[in-house]
Amino acid sequence: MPDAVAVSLRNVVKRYGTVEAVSGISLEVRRGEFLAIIGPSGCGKTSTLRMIAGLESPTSGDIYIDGQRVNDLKPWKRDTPLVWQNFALFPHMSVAKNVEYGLRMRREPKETRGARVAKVLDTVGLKALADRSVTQLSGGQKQRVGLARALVLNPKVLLLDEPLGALDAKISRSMQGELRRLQRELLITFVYVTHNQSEALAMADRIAVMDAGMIQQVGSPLDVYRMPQNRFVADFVGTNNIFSGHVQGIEDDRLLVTTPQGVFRVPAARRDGAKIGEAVEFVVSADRITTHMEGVAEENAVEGKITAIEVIGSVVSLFLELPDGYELRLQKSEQRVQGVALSIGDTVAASWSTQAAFVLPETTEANGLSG
Amino acid sequence: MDRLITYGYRLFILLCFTFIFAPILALVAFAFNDNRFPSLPWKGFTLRWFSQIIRDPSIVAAALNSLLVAICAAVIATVLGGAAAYCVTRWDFKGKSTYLGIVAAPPCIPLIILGLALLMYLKQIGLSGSLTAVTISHAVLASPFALGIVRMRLAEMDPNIEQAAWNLGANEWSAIRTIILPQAGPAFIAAFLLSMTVSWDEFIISWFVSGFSETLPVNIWHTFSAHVSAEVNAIGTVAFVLSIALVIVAQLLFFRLGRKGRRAPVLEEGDGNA
Repeated sequence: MPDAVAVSLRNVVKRYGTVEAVSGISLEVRRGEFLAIIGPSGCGKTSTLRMIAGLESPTSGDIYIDGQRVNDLKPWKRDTPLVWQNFALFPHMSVAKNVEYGLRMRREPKETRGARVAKVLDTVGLKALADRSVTQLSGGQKQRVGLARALVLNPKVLLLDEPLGALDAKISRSMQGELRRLQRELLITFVYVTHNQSEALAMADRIAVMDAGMIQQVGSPLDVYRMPQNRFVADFVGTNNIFSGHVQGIEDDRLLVTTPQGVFRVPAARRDGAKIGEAVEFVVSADRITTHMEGVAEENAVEGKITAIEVIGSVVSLFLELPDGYELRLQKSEQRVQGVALSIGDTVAASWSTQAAFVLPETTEANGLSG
Repeated sequence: MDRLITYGYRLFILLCFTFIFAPILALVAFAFNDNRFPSLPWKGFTLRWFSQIIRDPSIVAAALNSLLVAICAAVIATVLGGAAAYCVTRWDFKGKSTYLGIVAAPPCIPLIILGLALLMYLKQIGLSGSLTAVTISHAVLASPFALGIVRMRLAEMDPNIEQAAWNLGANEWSAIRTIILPQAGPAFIAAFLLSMTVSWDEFIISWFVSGFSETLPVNIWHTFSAHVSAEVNAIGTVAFVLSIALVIVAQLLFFRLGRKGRRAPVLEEGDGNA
């Protein structure tokens, strides 16, 4: 169903001189979906976005928008407006002139331009500031202009490059909700690049995790969060404890795994036919580990000393040092550890259920490329 | 102690200014001195040297030549320098720093060498001894200044905004017209005015290549190497006032523009001393 695909990348490679920023990625963005591309800086996500916009051209591979191959289409011939991290507004123009710019360049008749500008300014809540100079706006207001300037063109695909990266945390959070609402209402395909996984997890329909120029996993936020396909994703998304060891024994639907931290049980389902001695990697999410203070003891247990306690809002992070030096991370809701005296240096018994362990697929190379 | 240092600074600056401007001030003062020879004693205030130079057709013709050359050379220098500034800001290319070093060279070459070189070259292509020759030579001399001024302004601009314009449907020319030029406009005017000053003041190259079409500095040289008259002070005053006016307007345009949108930093005083 090619009709359901808005943007399609096929084996796209981008090299700058000898540096390979994007190493052959294939990705399909479905019409009307909110796709987030996340990854650490330098992973190739921004290069990918700029290639979709035509601001960079791929070294090899093909890019299709609406089924049309656009490799050689100039940026001004494309319908892929971009919202920039640093806003990139035109400082010598008013808010309304900034928003009108794209319509003017597309030779939209003057009579209809005013109404469209007014409507989109209303949508982003900037109606009152239409005649203000953009240099007088706050960061959040500037990014609304950036958004309005793109939305006024009624694009099929909207590209966003870390749009909330330059805003403070509170504004960033309130704009997350707004972006999500706008995307749903206007039914525009969003391709949203960010290094901030919580933005992506909160807003996106699907997430593509990139590292070292490759797509590591594509899936729903929950899939990416709970079922990482490789070590990189497990490490980058969420807060996971990664264990590696060898199969020591097999009991029905579980594997017994020896690791430097101890012997643990993990579900065997994802490793059917595993043999004794085979290498196994599994992750346990920090929020699935309980402590003895909570009065719960699960099947897989370790003991360690608290080395650090971080309270961020309603979440408490504990860092335990296990006897072999491994740093185990735990996350508790602040409410659950209320009244429990925790201090650095205390010895804590931590445990998790076998079902909480997620076994990574056998190959640690990129897989599940197209979603 | 602090106060002493402040006074010291002020005195130093005053001395610098005196050192630089005393000769010029003397020239301006003597232009109004009612004495046939441009020297002391002071014999009273007069404007007759000014009225004499206005009535001297060779001086007026030379001044008009100079003005024409200055305007044409400034137009050429601004267009060439501005375009070069845009290119070096926008694109990286092999040998960019070498290129910038070479284009910045003309003002660093001794003018007598540059003058000789231009004379020989222009003679080859049959242009020497004309105002066209002077115009071309001055455009060569002034282009690096124009490039420098426009480049500084372009480098301050957010490089993303041009791409943002492309992204919204503006092709390269439209983006330059609607985004780059409106913002860099004052810098272009400053470049034009400064190029004009460079040309207006220039003597050595003009003397080599102008032939019978004298510019004002060449005329001054020819006239007053023959006989000394107080008129020279009047001409000097007019030439100086025009130059300084051009430079001041250029500076105002450039710095006012630079300040726009930037707030002066607030200095914090006296912490850690208590």
